[in-house]
Amino acid sequence: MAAYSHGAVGYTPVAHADSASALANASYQALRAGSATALVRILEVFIGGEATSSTVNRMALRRLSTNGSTPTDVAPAPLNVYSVAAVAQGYVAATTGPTIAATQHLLNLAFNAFGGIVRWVAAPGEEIYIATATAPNAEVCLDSISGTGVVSQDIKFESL
Amino acid sequence: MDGQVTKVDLFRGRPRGGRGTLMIDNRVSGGELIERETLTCLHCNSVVVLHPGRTRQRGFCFTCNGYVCDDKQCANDCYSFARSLDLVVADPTIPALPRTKDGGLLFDAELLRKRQF
Repeated sequence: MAAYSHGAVGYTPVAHADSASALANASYQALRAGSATALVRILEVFIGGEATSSTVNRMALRRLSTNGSTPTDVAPAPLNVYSVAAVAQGYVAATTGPTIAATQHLLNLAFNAFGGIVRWVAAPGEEIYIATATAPNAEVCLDSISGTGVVSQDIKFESL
Repeated sequence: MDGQVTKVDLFRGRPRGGRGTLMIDNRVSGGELIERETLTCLHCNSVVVLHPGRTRQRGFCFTCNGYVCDDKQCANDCYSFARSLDLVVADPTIPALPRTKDGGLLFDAELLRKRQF
């Protein structure tokens, strides 16, 4: 089972409450399982703050109740050179942005974006799953609930 | 689909490997380095950062054989996330993976009960 990495680099988050819809391009990072038979488990989340002054960001990994429409896929990078191209895709832009589900947050990460670093690593069996191509099971997004300090972030995942 | 081998079966028997780790380093901004262990709820799939000073007993599901979080539904009912994944593989239109804020299901619980391992 190959592992991949997808990143969103140096973007300014927009504070998105639950149920926020049609998210603006480059205000979030989304990961989608990519096909009706795909299963993805998230192994690691990394966020590095790049704000130039003290800015508390509350970041969260949340499921999407509506998938992004015609997303601009950015192919995830395989962590092994011999891995096949990922079925799952990441995106930060879409014709119509996704809608955040008003359901339970999968992971909440608050930190100071003025040079702060967050890294969550799942133990085996403790991963977060997305599956198929149908909302609300298929996609997650990592973005801000509040705080708009510039961040770069990265999600590592495994395709099953 | 009952009884049919799905992709989910491939890792169902996989050993669970302890706890995840969360590191938050705020030292550049004058804060501190925080390192905590995490567990993922076997019912709602959300990650819980463990408070090292907690004295209350943590949740445990004897059916799923592992940690469950403190959310009301997670603590009181066995809505297995692994079975929910099975359900999604069988029918992707069922909103089986997300949970309500208190860990409840967004679909008929009877569907889950029918999918016994």
